[in-house]
Amino acid sequence: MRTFLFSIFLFINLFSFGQNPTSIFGFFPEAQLSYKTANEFKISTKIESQQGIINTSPDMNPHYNYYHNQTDFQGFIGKSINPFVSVTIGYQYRIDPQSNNSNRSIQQISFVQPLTGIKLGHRIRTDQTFAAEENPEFRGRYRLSAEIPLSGQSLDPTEFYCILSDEGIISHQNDDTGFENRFVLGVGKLLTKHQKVQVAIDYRTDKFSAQSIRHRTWIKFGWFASFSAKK
Amino acid sequence: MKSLLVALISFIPILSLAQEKIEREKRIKSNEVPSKAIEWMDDAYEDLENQIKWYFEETSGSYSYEAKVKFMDDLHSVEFDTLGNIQDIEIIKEWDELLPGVKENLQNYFQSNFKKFKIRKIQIQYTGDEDDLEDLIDENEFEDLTIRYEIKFYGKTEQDKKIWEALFDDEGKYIQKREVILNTSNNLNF
Repeated sequence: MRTFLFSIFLFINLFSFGQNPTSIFGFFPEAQLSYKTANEFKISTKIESQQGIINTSPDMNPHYNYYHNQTDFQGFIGKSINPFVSVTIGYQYRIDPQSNNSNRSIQQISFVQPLTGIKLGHRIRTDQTFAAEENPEFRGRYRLSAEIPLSGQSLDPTEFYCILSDEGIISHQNDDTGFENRFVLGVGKLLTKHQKVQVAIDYRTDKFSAQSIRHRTWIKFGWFASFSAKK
Repeated sequence: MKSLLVALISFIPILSLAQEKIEREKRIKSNEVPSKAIEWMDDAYEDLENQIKWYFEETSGSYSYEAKVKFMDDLHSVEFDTLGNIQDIEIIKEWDELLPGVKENLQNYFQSNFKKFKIRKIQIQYTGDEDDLEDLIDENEFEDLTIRYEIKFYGKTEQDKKIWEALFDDEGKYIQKREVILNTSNNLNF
């Protein structure tokens, strides 16, 4: 296990072209549950938690031990415009042992394109984060996702799929504008029409100035479930 | 945190018990397909044997083989039973390729039943005797075949907005429809 983690850490550092890059590695479980009402409103909750095991940030003593990075509790309410498009607003409370806990408001519109042999998802999101002793942070995000069945041309219950996504995030805080990229590659299984489980590598890069580029790699474990009211 | 994960993992199998129609499609090699089906494909789609993709399908306990191949710029799906007997041929078509009379009847159905609609996929389904189906492919003959149109579309009414898969006869007259439920997309949206 230690060799495996060390290999991943070396791999991460291949991308480190700054003088003092920060590399973070850890595990990222997430669980999401949603319920669709008879009048097409969707209520969702999500918990996600980052459990770090490697952190080489110059701000902290580099360490290779377990630490709790952050845990987010999210709640959303959305409306399906049609089977492919939904608009959603949400709220997130973040427990952040490294800094101040924060509150975040979220707005998003998402589109799903079921094509032959692939399903594409587009998500446009804005959010605003508020924490004590910090100025608000404003972000704009776009994520393109692809879900590709691994057996046959359509994803049916009990079958596996490949998940691939990339998200660009522009943030603004204290008159500074930053950019972050998040790339995800993984596999999942459709347990039933309404439930999926996924394992993925989530590779994030931000703080692109030469002095402080940051690489974060998370191994994600996800469970996603949605249920509907009987009509 | 550990307790939370254990609780979530324990929860998954409980929710998985819900009854649901199971459909599975698995890519297979041609040597796993009944020889009768291979021979029929060789006779009908001459010289295309290397371009045929084979699948094994399970739909709620019944099994079939399906060959997918591009022929004359159209995508063909040919279904066989487990003994290799041909069941039907489905060919994907564009709206503009349909006969004017069929388009008129389909248009009437959609306009009179939906405030707004968008066609997503059209398949012409041919069923009949194996020789007649072979003549359809290699001779372009339509004798003694039953023709149906299977159309997947988005339809908006006063009450709802849904995706449907409907069956129409050879003249484009409505026979039946069923709702298409998309798999959860929460992993793409959140």
